[in-house]
Amino acid sequence: MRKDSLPEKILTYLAFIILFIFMIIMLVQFDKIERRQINLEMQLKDLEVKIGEIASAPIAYSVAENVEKNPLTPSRKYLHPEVKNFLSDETFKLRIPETQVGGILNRWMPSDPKSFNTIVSNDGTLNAYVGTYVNSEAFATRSYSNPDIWVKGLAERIEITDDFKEYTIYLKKGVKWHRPVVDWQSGRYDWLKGDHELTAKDVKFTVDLIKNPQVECPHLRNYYEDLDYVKIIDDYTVVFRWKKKTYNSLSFTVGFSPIPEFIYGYDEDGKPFEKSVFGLRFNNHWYNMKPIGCGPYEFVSYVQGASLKLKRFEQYYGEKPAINEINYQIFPDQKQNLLKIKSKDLDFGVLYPTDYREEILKGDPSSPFKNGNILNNTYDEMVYTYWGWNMENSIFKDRKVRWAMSHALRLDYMLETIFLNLGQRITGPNYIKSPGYNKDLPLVTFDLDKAAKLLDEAGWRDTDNDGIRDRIHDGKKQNFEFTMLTTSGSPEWSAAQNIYKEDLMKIGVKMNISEVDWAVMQKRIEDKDFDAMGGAWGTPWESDPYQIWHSSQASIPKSSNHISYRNPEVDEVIEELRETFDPEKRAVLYRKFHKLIYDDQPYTFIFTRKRCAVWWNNLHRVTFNIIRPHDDSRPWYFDLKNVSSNVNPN
Amino acid sequence: MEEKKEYKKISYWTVVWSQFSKNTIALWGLGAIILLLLQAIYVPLIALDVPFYYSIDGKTEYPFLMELFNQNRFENSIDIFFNTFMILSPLFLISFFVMRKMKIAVSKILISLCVVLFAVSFFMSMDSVNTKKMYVNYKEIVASAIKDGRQADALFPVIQYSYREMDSTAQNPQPPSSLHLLGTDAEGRDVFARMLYGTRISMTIGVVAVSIYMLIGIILGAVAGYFGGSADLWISRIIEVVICFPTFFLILTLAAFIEKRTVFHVMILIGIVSWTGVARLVRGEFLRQRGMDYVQAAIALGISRVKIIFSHILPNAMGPILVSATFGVASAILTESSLSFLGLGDTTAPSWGGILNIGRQQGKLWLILAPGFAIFFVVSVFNLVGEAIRDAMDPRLRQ
Repeated sequence: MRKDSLPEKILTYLAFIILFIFMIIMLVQFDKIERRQINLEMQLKDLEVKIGEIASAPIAYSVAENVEKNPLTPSRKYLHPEVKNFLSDETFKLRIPETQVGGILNRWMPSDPKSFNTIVSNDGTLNAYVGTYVNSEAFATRSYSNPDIWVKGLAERIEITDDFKEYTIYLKKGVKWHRPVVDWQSGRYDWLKGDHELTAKDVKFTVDLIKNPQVECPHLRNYYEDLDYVKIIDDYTVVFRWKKKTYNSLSFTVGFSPIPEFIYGYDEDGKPFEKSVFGLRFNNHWYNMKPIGCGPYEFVSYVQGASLKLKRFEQYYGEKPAINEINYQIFPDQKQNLLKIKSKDLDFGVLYPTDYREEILKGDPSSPFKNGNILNNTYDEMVYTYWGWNMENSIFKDRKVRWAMSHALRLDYMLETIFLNLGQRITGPNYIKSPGYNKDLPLVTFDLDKAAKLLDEAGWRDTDNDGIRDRIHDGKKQNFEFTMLTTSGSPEWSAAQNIYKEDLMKIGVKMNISEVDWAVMQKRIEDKDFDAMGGAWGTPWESDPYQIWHSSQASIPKSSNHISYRNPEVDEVIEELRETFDPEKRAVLYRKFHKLIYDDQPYTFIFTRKRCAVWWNNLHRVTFNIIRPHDDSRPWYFDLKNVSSNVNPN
Repeated sequence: MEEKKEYKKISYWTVVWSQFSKNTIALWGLGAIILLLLQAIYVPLIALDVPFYYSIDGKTEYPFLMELFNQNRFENSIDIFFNTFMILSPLFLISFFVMRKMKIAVSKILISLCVVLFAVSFFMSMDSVNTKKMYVNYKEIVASAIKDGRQADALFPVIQYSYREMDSTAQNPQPPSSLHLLGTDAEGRDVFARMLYGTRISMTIGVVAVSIYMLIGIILGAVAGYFGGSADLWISRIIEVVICFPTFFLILTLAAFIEKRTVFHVMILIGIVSWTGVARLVRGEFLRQRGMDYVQAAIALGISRVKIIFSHILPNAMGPILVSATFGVASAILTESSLSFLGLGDTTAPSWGGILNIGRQQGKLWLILAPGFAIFFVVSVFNLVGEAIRDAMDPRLRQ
């Protein structure tokens, strides 16, 4: 080997150093260019908004028949006083005369939220457990008694144009944000001191965040794609303008919940974030591990994996709930609910199906579940389970085959023995309690002979005598063998699938079961790489079927129409639904949609899930709502005077 | 008497056996292992939902033999393998003893030929020969015939349930009764039958997984120990790297990513992560033996390396390997049970760990105790035997 002389060595090193310096300079330059571009983009967007405001067409408001002569707050000026308030005057009384104020409610929470920031985090746990109490206060919410109407929340009045494109929102005055929970003594957070009121600024701030491509909220941004602009009229009035007339815009405008600008717009020392990196900084905001909002309860403390404490917010703008504090205990194993509720560590818990059977259905008379110390009830969740048949697979293209699959499911038996009647059978995708659910359709019966006949008709016969049906497809022999993809970890579902498998074997269909991790399953579903899959959809009160059933979604990768369902007739109904706002007409369309889906059986619909809740008998007025959140504890109260026992559960 | 003994030719293994047979507990253990093996092979005679014969209106059918090979009834190829073995094992035994009597060198060749033939015919039958048949519920046929008032007769095995037949006549899971000795699980499958079939899974896992890692370990260890130098360096580093992984978690992670897990996947997984111990053992033994005179002599005679490694050194290094294999079987069974318990085993196979897991989820005592005891029993039996072999081979403990 040749040895480099000293000067040569030095030269090489120098070259390297120079190259390195060049690289650094280049990186810095690139960064600057990027920042400038982002700034420019933002300016361009602001301009676009302004242009949109100028160019927007004259707006038609329909005049209400009985014009409110005296608005609620006489001092306020409405832009269109002649328009009827979209929000209902109905109020839900949280307290009844017997209600006693006080007490601490110990509840269960299954897992730690990844973040308490409602924009960044799309976490079911967060919404279900923390949101209701702390940070999901919206302009208006669906009424618990009649989910078709909206009741006032943060807004006292909403005016909507006839074409449902422009919403004028009048915020209530005097809505206070919670005080942040920080180390006040250190002096570092003095800039946060004082009361902060909800204003139109917060609304605009939140919308800007959602529309900011740097912010990690694809789940929300999707829905606000068609939002043209948001304009601040004054401190308490804000206008949402949509580009298109879509039914979605209604619930995403009226049900909009803002986040506080006074804390999320600034870094830990009170300096506003630089505009170009604002979204990035927001994703990892310093206050993300604590919830803040303007809800009935405010945050007290949080210990990861152990507890989350909330206390009543005394400056809450609405009617304050009776229970003083809510103390969430965080543990992932639902089974522990049983032990904790027995030892009174929990006041309210949710039982696992097997525990439900052992303690409530069987249980001996002396157990607290039977002698009236612990009460129980089951309530419907807005979740339906299904087995989906992938129509990209040539086996399931045939409607008769899918019907045969549905007929081979011994559902009543399974529901009774495995799921302990914790579910209600359904025939289609709409929520069973909503007006769009078509009650005329009969439940699919368990009938193996019929299933076999349907398979015969579809051309599946056991020609080679190997016990499995086959047919000639594309010149090749094809056996009726498929794999059902499910997540591992649910003993009930795995039992149900085993039974289904044995029943299918009897009619000459071979089903393999592939139990995979949820992450793997999600990927397989996204790639549409499965024959059949078992899943569940959480449905809102009025779901937009477009996402799951429209054929335009079938060819999009990672879409929710993972079974590639295509039916032009269904498409028409879905498109019509998107532009229909009249509740009556919507119900009719929904029922028609339900019928079409039922006839096609793209899914074998199984049931809506029920949960069994248990609570100690000193907790009163425990009610369950037909929409989410089902177990909202705001109307509940504790009997603090006489802690009774041995009460008849009925 | 004693003078005579001196002239008797005593091989190493005879000494080991005589030492081993002094250990009563170990002998019981060995007996238990043999019994378990026999049970694993002959389960269908004890528990199956197929009658040996059934006659309706004088027309008699014998479905048992054919159903043993019906892949629609026995999903696992392990079951088909054992069933085939069950039919052929008497033949094997006879031929084995006959050939031993004949005391000819040909016997070895013949036996190995037989094994090869058996394996080939088995795998041929798995693929080309169609053994699938329509699923028939014989109990229903017989019951309906009796109900119709026809003359019917059938002889079922003692337990009339297979490991996958679902009894939906009562509310499941049923508690233990005379019909279901250990009750049923949520689907209504007889737990006792599943336990019996579970022996097959456990035994196969133990033997096959250990064979896999023995093979890897012996080859790598022998190469490293015999050749030394850079081969030794590289193989030792590989061993060190692999040994760093927490074995069970590695298996867990890998298992989670296999979508259609079968028992064979589990065997392979256990096999490819646990070979390091054997490799080190073999390497050490080879390093020791390589310097010995007989090896030097063999090298001097110009015998090929492969022959020196496998037919000169390996038999002398076999002792510790055998001991670690016996312990390995126990730990492989335990690993498989843990995997199935965590729901990462073969979901279709009636594995003990799987039954235990169902028991835990259901909170049913009989579903926990039975497989728990079975696992405990098998693992301790293998450990006892392993320990006894180790003691028997240790010259310092020789009595």
